[in-house]
Formats: sequence, C-alpha cells, structure tokens
Amino acid sequence: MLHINHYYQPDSLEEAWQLRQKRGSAVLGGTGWLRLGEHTIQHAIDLSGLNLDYIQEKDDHFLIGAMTTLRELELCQPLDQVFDGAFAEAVGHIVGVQFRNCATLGGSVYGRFGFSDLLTLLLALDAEVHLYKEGWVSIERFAVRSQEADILTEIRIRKNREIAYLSERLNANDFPVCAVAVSKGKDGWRCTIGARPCRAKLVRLPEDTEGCDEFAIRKIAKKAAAAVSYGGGMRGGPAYRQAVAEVLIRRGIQALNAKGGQA
Amino acid sequence: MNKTVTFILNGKKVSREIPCDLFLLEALREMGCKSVKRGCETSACGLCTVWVDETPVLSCTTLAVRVDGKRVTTLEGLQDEARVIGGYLADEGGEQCGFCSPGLIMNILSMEKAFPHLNPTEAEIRHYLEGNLCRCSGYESHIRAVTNYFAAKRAECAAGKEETK
Ligand SMILES: Cc1cc2nc3c(=O)[nH]c(=O)nc-3n(C[C@H](O)[C@H](O)[C@H](O)COP(=O)(O)OP(=O)(O)OC[C@H]3O[C@@H](n4cnc5c(N)ncnc54)[C@H](O)[C@@H]3O)c2cc1C
Ligand code: FES
Ligand code: FES
Repeated sequence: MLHINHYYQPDSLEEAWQLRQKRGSAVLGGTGWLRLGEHTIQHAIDLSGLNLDYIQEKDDHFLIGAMTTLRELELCQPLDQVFDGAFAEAVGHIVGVQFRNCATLGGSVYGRFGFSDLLTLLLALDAEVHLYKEGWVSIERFAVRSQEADILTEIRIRKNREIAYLSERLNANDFPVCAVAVSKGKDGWRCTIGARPCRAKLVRLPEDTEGCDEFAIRKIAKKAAAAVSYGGGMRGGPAYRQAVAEVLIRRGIQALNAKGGQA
Repeated sequence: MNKTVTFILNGKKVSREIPCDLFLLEALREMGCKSVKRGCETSACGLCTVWVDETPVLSCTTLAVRVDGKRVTTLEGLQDEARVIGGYLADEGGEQCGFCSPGLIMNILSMEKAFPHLNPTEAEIRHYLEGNLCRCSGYESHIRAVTNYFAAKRAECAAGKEETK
C-alpha cells in the first residue's frame, strides 16, 4: 500500500528539486512501481504540471520528456523509423496498453530496475539523461549509480546507431527472462544484456562483427554472453538465461548484418 | 493530507475532497461506479480499466488527485455501447463469470479510437488486449468476439456511406 503524507504539484523544476531535498520525498512518475509494496512518502512530488510530456525530433537527436508514457514511445513514428521499431519492441510487451498509458519514461529509467527493457535499449544507444541540478549524464554512467535526490527531466538520444532489440518472455507480457539490444555505429558494435535479472550491462563487440559469417557470429555471441554474470529466479536459472542471451545476441548481429551499411 | 478534485465523471461534473494517496479505483467505487473491478491491484490484470480523457488507464495505478480537471469515463457512462459488445462476447462464449468484462469492454471500445478504420488484424487485437487477463475464457472467444464486432462496425459504416450517396 502506498501512503502519501504531503502531495505537491510544483510550478517549476526548481521548486520540485527543493522539495526533493526533503527527507522522505519522492517524485511520482506513473506510480506503476511506487504503488507496489508498502511504503510511505512524506513528500510526493507530482511533475504533471511541468510539461515534461514530449518527444521532439531534432536534426541529429531526439529529446524525450520524463513524463512521456511508454505507450507514447511505442507509437512514436519518428522513433520507429529512425530506430527500426526497437522502441515499440522494447516497451510493447510491458503489461498492456492501459499500463503503458500510465508508466513513464522518467520512472522507468530513474528506477534502474534489473528487469528493465528500456534501460537495456537505451544503454545500447548513444543516450544521455538530464538531471535538473547535475545536468547531462551519459546513460552508461547513470545506469551504474545508486538513486540520487535529483529530478530526471529528459533524455537525449542521438540518431547515430542502428539497433536491434530482442527479448525472451515466458508469456507475452511477462517480465523478460533475458533482454538484449545489439547496436552499431561509427565507434563500433556493442550489445547490452538486461533482465539477467540484474541491471543491464554493456559489452563491446569486436570490430570484425561487421559482415562476419555465421560461424564467427556464433563465437562472438558466445563470448559476449559469457562476459556478464546471471542470476536465478522463477523465470529461469543462470545457465538458461546465459543460453538465451547468446541466442538473442546472435539474432541481433544477424539482423543488423542483414541490413548492411554503416550508420 | 486531503485535496479537492473536480472532474467530469460520465458526463457529469463532480467535486470531492479525497485523501491524496487514494487511487482512482477506490474513489470511483465509492462514488457508485461498481463496474470498476478490483482484480490484482498490482497493475497486472486490466480489470480496473477506465478512460481518462478518452485514454484507457488502470484506475488501480492512477492517483485520484491526478484526474483533477479531466474527464473520466467508466462502463456506467457507456451502457449502450457496452450492451452491444457484451452481446458479441456472449455469442462466442467469451463471458463466463463476467468479472473481467467491464475492463475488457472499456479496452475494446478504446480500440475504436486506436484503429479509426475499424480494421485491426488479429495480431493487433491480441496485442491490444494483452493487458486484460481472464481466468475463464482462454481468450480465443474474446478474439472471435472482437473480430466479429469490428466486422459488424465496418459493415455498419459502409452501409451508412452508401445511404448518404
Ligand atoms: C506488473 C508490472 C509488470 C512490469 N513489467 C515490466 C517489464 O516486463 N519490463 C520492464 O521494463 N518494466 C516492467 N515494469 C516496470 C514498468 O515498466 C515501469 O518501469 C515502472 O512502473 C516505473 O515507471 P513509473 O512511471 O510507473 O514510475 P514510478 O513507479 O512512479 O516511479 C519509479 C521510481 O522512479 C522515481 N521517479 C519517477 N519519475 C522520476 C523523475 N522524473 N525524476 C526522478 N525520479 C523519478 C520514483 O520516485 C520511483 O522511485 C512492470 C511493472 C509492473 C507493475
Ligand atoms: S486491479 Fe488494476 S490492473 Fe488489476
Ligand atoms: S469471464 Fe471470468 S475472468 Fe473473464
């Protein structure tokens, strides 16, 4: 059960940040995660009035506001075109349409959940998180930190990587057993392995991944999958998750190689 | 802490003082909208689906303070439309205990806006209704009912267009 002692709808980000400095404060995203379990928020900060619900396409990047819902990410055509459907694939299996109309980008990324599809996707892209006081932080750095008393305002994603997103689920809308994003750009190939079920981790792939044959892809995928650790749980043991990761990485490389060209 | 919220509920303006941690599900049931069912309360089943400004959301996940100034629609406000879909579900054996039906019907009705040409494919229907769990039906009857419902809607539209020619 979620208990809230004081509720605020600040008129500015500065006011929201000041409130966040209070003991027992928390920002409200879509409250999808916050509502689970038993906790009391002394000062709940609702960002709904701050116009943080937007997806802006610029020449070489996208800017996406923290209060943008997962459903908006799923349906955004420019994102779909630039990243070849990866956003819809990453968020489109999360619970259902009604839930995705509630859950936000900010809550999903700030939470840095071990099962997160979105974190797995963003880590494989050239993405940065904007925190109101701290400013821009690369997603790579953000992903490994613990939660800070700041406000996630928006995310910037550069259009400089091609990406393929894959996940394996026991049921269509269950948490993933394993999630993988493979991407390539001018600085080479990388893949992220998420829902291990710990936080997603980035693994660089060798340069000769580009255009390599089936035998080499198998070797690369095996090595990449073995580069991170896996945990157990009701959805699968460590060995199973690693085996799934290997297959997904292989398919991701195949998908990008089949498209050919360099981003 | 309490807060006064004012919103349009099924076409009527309502104003209530509510605790700021009350979820919309509870607020609506207290206001007599008993079609809004409490299923899992963990955002997983879709039984509590209502519309906020025409968008389907989970009322167990939405804080009631957040609907201030908005339009909220429950099945009580869509009785005629619900009766029609209920008929298609019953025809296909898609309504067994019926507990999931209000949330399911709210989501099916919202598909009309998501697919303005009224022609979702079977895969699109399955994907759209993935968040509506049902313990009784096995889902196949739901899919048949929704497919039939949209076919009838398309035929209705085509007949309407013919008439106005
Ligand atoms: C039943 C269920 C199944 C799910 N399945 C999946 C799945 O398969 N894959 C997946 O990736 N995710 C899954 N999720 C997680 C979901 O996608 C969201 O990530 C989650 O609900 C958090 O998003 P939210 O907007 O609801 O955030 P909230 O619950 O509101 O907030 C989450 C955290 O972020 C903080 N916060 C929110 N916004 C901000 C901000 N702007 N700045 C700073 N802090 C902020 C909050 O204080 C809180 O600590 C699932 C959730 C549920 C309930
Ligand atoms: S009661 Fe809201 S999703 Fe189950
Ligand atoms: S008909 Fe019984 S839960 Fe769906």
